[in-house]
Amino acid sequence: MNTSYTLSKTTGLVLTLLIIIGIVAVITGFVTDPARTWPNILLNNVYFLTISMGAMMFYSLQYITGSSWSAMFQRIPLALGSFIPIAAILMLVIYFGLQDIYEWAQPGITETDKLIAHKAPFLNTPFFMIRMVIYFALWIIPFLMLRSLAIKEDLEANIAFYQRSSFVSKVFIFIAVLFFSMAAIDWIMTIDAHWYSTLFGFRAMVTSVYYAVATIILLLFFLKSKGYFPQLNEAHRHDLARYLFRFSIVFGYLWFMQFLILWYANIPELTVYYQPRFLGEWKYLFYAELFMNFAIPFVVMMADDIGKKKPVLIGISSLLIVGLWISLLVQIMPGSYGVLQFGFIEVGMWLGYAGMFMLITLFALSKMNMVPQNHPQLEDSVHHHL
Amino acid sequence: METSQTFSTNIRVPLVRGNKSYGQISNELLANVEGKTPLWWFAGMTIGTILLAIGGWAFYMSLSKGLGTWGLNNSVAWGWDIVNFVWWIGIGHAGTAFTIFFLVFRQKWAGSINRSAEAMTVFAVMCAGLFPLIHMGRPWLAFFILPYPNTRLLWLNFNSPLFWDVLAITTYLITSIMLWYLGMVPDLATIAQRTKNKVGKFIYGMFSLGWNGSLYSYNRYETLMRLLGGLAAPLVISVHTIVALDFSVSVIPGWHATILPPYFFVGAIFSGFAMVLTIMILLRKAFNLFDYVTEKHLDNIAHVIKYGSLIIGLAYATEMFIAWYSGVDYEIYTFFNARATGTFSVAFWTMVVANAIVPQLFWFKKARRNLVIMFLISIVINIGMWFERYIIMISSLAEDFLPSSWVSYQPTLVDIGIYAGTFGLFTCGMLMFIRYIPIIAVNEVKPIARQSQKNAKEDNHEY
Repeated sequence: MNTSYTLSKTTGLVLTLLIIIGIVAVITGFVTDPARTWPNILLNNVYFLTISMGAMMFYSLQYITGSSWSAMFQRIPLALGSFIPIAAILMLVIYFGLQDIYEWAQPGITETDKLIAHKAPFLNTPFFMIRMVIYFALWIIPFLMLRSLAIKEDLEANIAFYQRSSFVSKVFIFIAVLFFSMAAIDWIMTIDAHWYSTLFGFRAMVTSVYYAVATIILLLFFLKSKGYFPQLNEAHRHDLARYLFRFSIVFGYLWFMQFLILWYANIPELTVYYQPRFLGEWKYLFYAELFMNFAIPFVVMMADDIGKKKPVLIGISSLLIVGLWISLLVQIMPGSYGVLQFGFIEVGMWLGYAGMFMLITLFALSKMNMVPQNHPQLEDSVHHHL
Repeated sequence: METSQTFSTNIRVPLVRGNKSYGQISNELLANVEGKTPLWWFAGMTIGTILLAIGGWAFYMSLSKGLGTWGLNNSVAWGWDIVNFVWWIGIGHAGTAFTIFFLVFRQKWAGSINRSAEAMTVFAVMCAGLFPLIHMGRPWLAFFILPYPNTRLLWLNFNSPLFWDVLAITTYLITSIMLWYLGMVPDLATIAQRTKNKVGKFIYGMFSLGWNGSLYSYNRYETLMRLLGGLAAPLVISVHTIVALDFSVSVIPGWHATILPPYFFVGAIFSGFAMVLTIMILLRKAFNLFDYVTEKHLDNIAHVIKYGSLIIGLAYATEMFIAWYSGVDYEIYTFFNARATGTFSVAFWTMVVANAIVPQLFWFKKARRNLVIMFLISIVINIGMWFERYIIMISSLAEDFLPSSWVSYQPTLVDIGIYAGTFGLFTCGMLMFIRYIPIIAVNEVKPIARQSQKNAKEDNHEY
C-alpha cells in the first residue's frame, strides 16, 4: 500500500508522442490560421483547468462533508489539481491572442459599440489579465497547502493534519466557487460580449466536478489495471457511479434552465446567443452536448445496479470526456472563430494537452504515496461496503 | 508507528446518546403521545386558533367584498399573497429534502429530525396553497385549473408556468404526505400495541395498516420508501424551480434571470432548514429529547445553513454584477436604484444582512453550540427570506419600465390577516402533530442507537 506510482516506459512514450502531436498541431495552427488556433488554446486551457478545479473541489468536499468512502483514492484528485499552476502559465499566454478570441479586445471597438463601451471598465485587457493573475494566485496557494498537508500526514500520524486540511478545504471551496464561476464569465461568456446570463458562471463551476469525477474514474481504472488499489470494490464503483448519475441530473437541470428561460422570454438580445447554436450550423453539436452530458448518462445509469459494472463506468466517463469538449466548443467557437471547424488542429491540440495533462498528473502521483498512510478515515474507506 | 485506528473515533460522534434499550427508546419517544397533555400545548392551541380566526375573517372579507380589500393595484398585481406563498413553499421544502437527500447521501443523523421536518413540510405547503387559491377570487371554482375533459370547453394553457405550479405543488404535497404517513406506519403500530385506550387502539390500529413488524413487511417497506424517495427527489427540485420560472420566464427586469431556478431552490432549502432549526430547538426542549437531537444534529443543520447562505450571497452578487454588466437600463435601475438605494433599500439591505451575512456566524463553534444564538439566527433567516421574496416580487412590479405607472404598494389589514391566518393553521397543525404522532421516527432511531452503542463499545469510549 505504501507504493507510489512509477511511470512505465510505454506510458511515458505514449504520452510524449501525444505531446509531440500537440506541438505539431499548434505549429500547424499558427502557420495556417492563428484566428482558429487561439480559441482552441483557450478551449483546451479551460477544458483541463475545469477538470483540475473540479477535482480539487471534489477533494475539498470530501473533507468538508467528512466523507470516508473516498479516502483511499483521494490522492488522485489531488494529483489532478497539479495542473492548476501549469494552466496559469498557459492562460497567461492567451494575452497574445486576445484580439483573435474576444470582440471587446479589438482596438477601437468602444467607439463604435455602445454596449461594449459600457462594459469597458470591466472588459479591458489590463484588468482582464490582473483578474486572471488574482484567480490563479488564489487557487494555487490553498492547493499547495492541501498538497503539503497530505504529504506531511503520510510522515506523521496526527489528527491535526486532517483538521487543518478540513480548514483549508473550506477556504478553497469558497475561493473556487466564487472565482471559478467568475472566471467562466470572464473567459467564456465575454466572448459573446453583448450577451449575458446569470447562470453561466454557476453552471460552469458546478459541472466541473462532474467531469472531474469522470476523469477520476478513468484514472482509477487505469491505475487498478497497473496493480494499484487492490481494495477497490463494488461499493466504491457504485458511489462513483452515483456521483456521475446525480451530476448528470444537475447538468441537465442547469443546461435546460438557462435555455428554457431565454427561449421562453424570447428577448432578441438574449436569444441571439442561441440563434447560431440552436438553429445554425452548430445545432447538431448543440443536441450532442445535451445527449452526451445529460441524456445518455442519465438513462444508462438510471438502474442503480448498472453503475457497479466497470465497462459502463468507463464508457460513460469516456463519453463525458468528449462531452466536455463539445460543450466548450459550442460555448467558445460561435462567438470567436464563428465557423465550425474540425480537423487536425482541433484533435491534435486536444491530444497534446491530454498528454501533457496526464504526464503532469502521473508525475504528481509518483511524488507521493498512492494511498494516504495516516488518513483517519482510511480504514472506513478500505472496508467500504454498502 | 501507530496506525489510523487510534484516532478514527474522534471524527464521528454517536448520534443517539446514552446506552438505551429499545423499550427505553420507545418510552422516551412516545412520551408526547402517551403522556398527559402539557399546559403550554393548550396555550399554543389558543394562540393558533385566534390567529386562525383572524385568517377566517380576512378570508371572509376577500370573498364577500372581493380582492379589492387587498393592497393590489394595476401595477402590483401580485402582492403579499405571492410573497407569502413563495415564503411558505420555501419552508415547505426542507422536510422532504431532509428525508430524501439525506437518504441518498447516507446521512443517518437525519433520522431523528425527518419526521418533524416532514410534518412542517405538509403544513407549510398547505399554508402556501391557500394564497393562490384565495387569489383566484372564486375559490369554489378552483377545480377549473385541473386538466380534465369537460363539457365547458375549458382548456388549460399548458404554456403557463402558473399551471406547471399547480401540477408541481399538488404532486409535491401528495408525495410529501405519503412519505410522511408511510414513514410513521411502524410507529403507529407500536402505539396501537401499547395504548390501553380503546378508541386510540382502534384509530392507531387502523392507520397502521395491519403492520406486524415481520422481516417480510420491513423488506417491502424499505423498497417502497426507496422508490418513493426516488420519486420525491426530482419533485423537491421541481417545486421551487417552477416557482422561480413563474418569475424568470417573464420579461420584467429583476425577474428575468437564468440563475433564478437554482437560486430559489437553494434559498428554499436554506429557509426550510432555518425553520427546522427553530422547531427542533423548541421540540427537544419541550419533550426532553436531548439524547436524540444532540448538539451534533443542530450543528449539522447549522453547517448546511452556513453554506446555503454563501450560495445565496453568491447569487445576490451575481445578479447585481450581471445587472450592471448587461448594460440594460431597466435592469440597472431595478437593482441599483429601486432595490439597493431607492424605495426598497431598507428591505433590500435587511435581506442581504439577514441571509448572506448573519448566518456566517455559524462559522464559529461558539455560535453553533449556543442555542439562544442559533434560535435567533434561525428566526432572522426566516425574516430575511421573507424580505427576499418581497424585494423580488414587489420592487420589480412597482417600478418597472414606465415611470408613469410606478406606484407604491401597501398591504391592507386583510392581507396581513390572511398571513396571520396561515400562521394559525401552521401552529395548530404542528401542535396536533406533536400531540398525536411520535415526533421522532422511533423505528429509524432504534437501529441508529444500536449502531452508536456498538461503535462506542468497539472504541472503548464512555458515553
